[in-house]
Amino acid sequence: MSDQETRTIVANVFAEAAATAAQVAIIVPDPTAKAALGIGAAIAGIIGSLIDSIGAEQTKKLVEELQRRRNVGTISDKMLAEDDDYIREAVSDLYKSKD
Amino acid sequence: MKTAQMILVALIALSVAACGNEALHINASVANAMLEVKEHSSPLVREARREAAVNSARAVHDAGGTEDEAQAAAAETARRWLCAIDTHRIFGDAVGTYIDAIALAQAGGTPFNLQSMIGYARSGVSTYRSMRNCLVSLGNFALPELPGFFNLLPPTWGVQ
Repeated sequence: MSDQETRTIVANVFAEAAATAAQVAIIVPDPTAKAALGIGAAIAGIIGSLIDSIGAEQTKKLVEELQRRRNVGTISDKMLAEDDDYIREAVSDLYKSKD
Repeated sequence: MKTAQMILVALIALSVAACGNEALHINASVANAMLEVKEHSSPLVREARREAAVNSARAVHDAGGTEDEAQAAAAETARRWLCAIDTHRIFGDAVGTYIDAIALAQAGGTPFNLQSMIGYARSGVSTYRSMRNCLVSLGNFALPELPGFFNLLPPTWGVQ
């Protein structure tokens, strides 16, 4: 499992925890428990977002790297012309070596 | 089509079209793999073309043909191999377009869309197949074949 996948799973766990805490906070009658759950939900939500944002930074770097390398491996007309020259010379060499 | 393959297609579709950062990362990883194929196949395709052309000239030479005849045979073989160069370029363009679409989505310029994202990936897959078919038809050049389940993606899900 990659770091990104792990981060996503952990972030989702925190998000689930935040959502559950917020739902329980709504139905709990005790004001102290309500406040504690509310604060807990907020903290869990922030941690989850933070973890996910670190992953987003890695994704951004990957996309930037892709953009930078976008044209690698492209066969240009110049390369093709060089290959044609190489072929002509190699064929000529066949006959030179015969002589 | 086997059930397992259909489930796999559904999983790929969901992965490529998932929401948020995960979707970007999955699409970027798919595009990265395609870029690797493009980069590593480039020198191989060129080398194979040069070798095929020189070999056809050598056959003429060994049969007692003149240098002009050998040059003509080499040029003809090199010309036939242009389909490999052309399909490699088309594959490269498809990969480049996919990367541009991902970068645009990351910059917030376009929203993620299941059909278009799969369309970009599918475009790369189709052009890879064209390149592979051309190379296989030209002789002993082995590129891995893609699994048939890619055919399950609806043809209408292409780049507009």
